[in-house]
Amino acid sequence: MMPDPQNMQKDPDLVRLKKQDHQAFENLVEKYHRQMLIVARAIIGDSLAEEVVQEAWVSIYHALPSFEGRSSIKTWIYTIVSNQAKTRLRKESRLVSMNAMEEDIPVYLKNERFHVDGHWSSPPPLWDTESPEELLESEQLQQCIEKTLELLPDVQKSVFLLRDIEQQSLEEICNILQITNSNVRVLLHRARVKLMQVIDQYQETGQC
Amino acid sequence: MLKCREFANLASDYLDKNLGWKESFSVKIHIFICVHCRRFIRHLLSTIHIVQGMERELASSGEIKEIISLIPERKQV
Repeated sequence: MMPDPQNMQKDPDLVRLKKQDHQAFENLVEKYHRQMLIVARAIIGDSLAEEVVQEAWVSIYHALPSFEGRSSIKTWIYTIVSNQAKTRLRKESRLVSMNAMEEDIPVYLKNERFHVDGHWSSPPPLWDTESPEELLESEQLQQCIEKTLELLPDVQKSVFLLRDIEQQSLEEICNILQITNSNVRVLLHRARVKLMQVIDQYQETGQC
Repeated sequence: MLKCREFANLASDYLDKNLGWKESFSVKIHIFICVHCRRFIRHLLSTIHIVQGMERELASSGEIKEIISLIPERKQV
C-alpha cells in the first residue's frame, strides 16, 4: 500500500526526522542499522557493507529534510543503501557472487523427501502446538531461529527480511536487490522452509 | 493433478497470492485432499508469524555512536 504523503506530514516522528532531530535520527539508526547491513551485504558482500551503510546513513541524514513521503521511510532508506551499494560496486568494478540460486535447497524441497510419484515419502511431522504465540514462549526456539537466520546466505536473508519482516512488495525487493521476481520468490520460499525445518527439529528433539 | 512435490514448491506463492487462478485452484483442491500438505502449509504460515513475532534486532549503542559521529551538524528539536 502506498503511503499518503499528507498523513505522513502529520506523523510526529517523521516531522522530527525531517527537521534532522538528533534523537529521532538515533532511533532510526537503532531500528534499521542491522537490517541495512543485511541488504548491503547482499549487494556488495561482507567486506565493504559496513562502510557503505555508514555512507548511506550520512546521505539519509542530509536528505531527510527533502523526504516527501512518496514511499514509506523504510522503503526510502533501503533504496538509499541499495543505491549506495550499487554505486560502490560499479566504482570498485567488483563482481559479487549473486549465485544464490545454486544449491542450498532445503531438505524439505529435495527429491529424497518424495516418492517417485510425487507424494511425500517423509511427510511434515506433527507439532505439539502450531500456535505462534505458544511457540514464541520458548526462548531456546527463538535462539535456534535467530541462529538459522544468521546462517542464511546473504541474498536469501535479505529477501526474507525485506518481505516477511519489513513487508516490502516483491517489486520493491527486485529494485532494491536487483534480482528478478522469480528469484525473489524462490529465495523467499527457501528461507521460510529452512526456518520451518528448524521448528520441526526443535519439536522433535527440543534442540536446534 | 498437482503432486505433493509441486505443492511444496508453490506453497509460498499460494500464501502470497502470486499464483494465477488455475494454479491457485489446483493448490486449493490439493489442500482439501492431502492431510500432509495441509499440515505443511499451516506450519509454513506459523513459521512466518513466529519470525514476525520475534523482537527486532536493534543496533548496539557502539554502532549508533559511530554513525552519529559521522553526522556533522546535530540538532535537537
